[in-house]
Amino acid sequence: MRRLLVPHVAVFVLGAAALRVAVVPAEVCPPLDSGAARVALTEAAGWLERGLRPGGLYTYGYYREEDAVSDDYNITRHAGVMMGLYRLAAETGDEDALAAGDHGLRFLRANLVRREGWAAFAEPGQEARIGASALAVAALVHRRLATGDRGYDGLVRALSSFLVAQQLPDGRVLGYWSPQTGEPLPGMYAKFGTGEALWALALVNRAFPGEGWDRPARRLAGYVATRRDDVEGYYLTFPDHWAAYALAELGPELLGEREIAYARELAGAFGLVSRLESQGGEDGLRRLFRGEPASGAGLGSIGEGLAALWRLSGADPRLADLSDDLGERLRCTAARTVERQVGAAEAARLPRPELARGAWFSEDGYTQMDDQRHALAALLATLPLLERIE
Amino acid sequence: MSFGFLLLAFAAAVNPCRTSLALLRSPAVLALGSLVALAAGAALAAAGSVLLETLDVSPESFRLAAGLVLVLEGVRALVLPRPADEPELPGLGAALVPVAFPLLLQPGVVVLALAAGADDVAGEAIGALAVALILVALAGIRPIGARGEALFTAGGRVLGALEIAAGAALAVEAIRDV
Repeated sequence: MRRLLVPHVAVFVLGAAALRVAVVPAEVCPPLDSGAARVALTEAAGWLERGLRPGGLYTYGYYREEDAVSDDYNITRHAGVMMGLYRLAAETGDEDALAAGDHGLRFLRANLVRREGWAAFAEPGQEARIGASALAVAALVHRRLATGDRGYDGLVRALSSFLVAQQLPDGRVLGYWSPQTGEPLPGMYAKFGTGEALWALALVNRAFPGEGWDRPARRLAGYVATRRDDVEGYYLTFPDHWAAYALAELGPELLGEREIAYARELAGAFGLVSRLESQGGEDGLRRLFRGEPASGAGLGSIGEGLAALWRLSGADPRLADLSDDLGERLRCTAARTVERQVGAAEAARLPRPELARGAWFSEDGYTQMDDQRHALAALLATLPLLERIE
Repeated sequence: MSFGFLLLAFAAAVNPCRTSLALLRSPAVLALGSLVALAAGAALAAAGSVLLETLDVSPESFRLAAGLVLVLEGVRALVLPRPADEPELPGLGAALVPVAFPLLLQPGVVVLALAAGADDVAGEAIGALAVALILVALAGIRPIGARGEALFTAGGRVLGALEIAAGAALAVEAIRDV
């Protein structure tokens, strides 16, 4: 009997082991409560707020092993940091975050390309990237929400007009504008710029209702929902957290069936990356089969996408069936995000604790402003879920 | 997972055409072996949810694994349309080995039952597996001649292709699921 069964049992056992190791490792989701999430997001904000540099800049990146601050800079990420700080201020009343956001506003105001009817956030002589202006719009709209100050409404409209000027009649938005030709660069799209522009237009439409911003927003939403992946070269649904933000901001009243179908696809894409991420680890077979763990920016953007879609699923009955699963994935992603953050005790052992505390480092010991920025936004957006669970 | 999908997937996984080429032609052994396989499949489906929870595997992720197994098994049926002759236990013991295991309880049947159980459709899975096993019994109960063997070999390949399609559909669904 044993002789008969051994080969077949061996196939089952070895096959099950291979599946377990390579295809379905355990999905590890540590516990998380709202208190721990608040501490983590405060620490992340602290890293950004401590990094104020002359000229309205922020600390861009830090190499832990070499104890070296990066000389690089990226104005799209600059605008993203401003947006994250203003958003924190708008949602929690954090005055330090507001002040740090206003610090970056100086750099924004000093780097505007103005043409008739619009303004773009771009350094002198550089191509204007659509994402930088879109995130500048998002930042200023959140500043408006935090302060009630209408002093920058004109700039918001001018930056938004640049986004519309980059849009083609079929809804696409071109990613770059050339100062040499004075025209958008034809056929060039920005990987995240399209979703960022959509979110910015959705925010502006809500801030300035009745001004017609809904038309370019809906045109762009239709493009993103139906053609973007094909036109911009993605074989599967691109897990675009900015598009998720935009769908949540547009809300049920502005979303047609094609956008709802896209929201489902997007939820699936974020669900998959969240599950895969939770199967990974820093060493052993998990590291071997799932690769390098996601960076703080990677973890954060998964959380941002899930959180936005979870919020939308609570507002739109057409997506209500996704709410529990999205909430479960979001809680797991947020918990893994908190677990990977460098705490005060660990930072104290490093040469410059102020550049390590509250940060997320990649395997090579590097952290960048967007690691903290994305993680901060994701944790902030997870708080309502955690509070509901509690 | 709908009942229709489970029916197709289980029918492809037990592959009555291919399996019957190696089955014993004793109705009692065949019936008993099918019942044993059904009971094992039902137990797996009933335990699917608890088992995956214990292993910290989400149903969506397991569907991806199940799809992969079905695809590989389907490829095997395409490439090797006739199962190897299996040694057998004497008398009614043959219902256990080789009929129930390894001929009927294929890896695809096992993962499909677990996936269905985790997806809260254990009842549908048991019903679909029962229908698939009845098809096996019907296909295996009578001796087949040379023409029948050629027909069943071709049918085994067709069901192998169907199993690949079912596996791919399951994997795609897993990828699209939250």
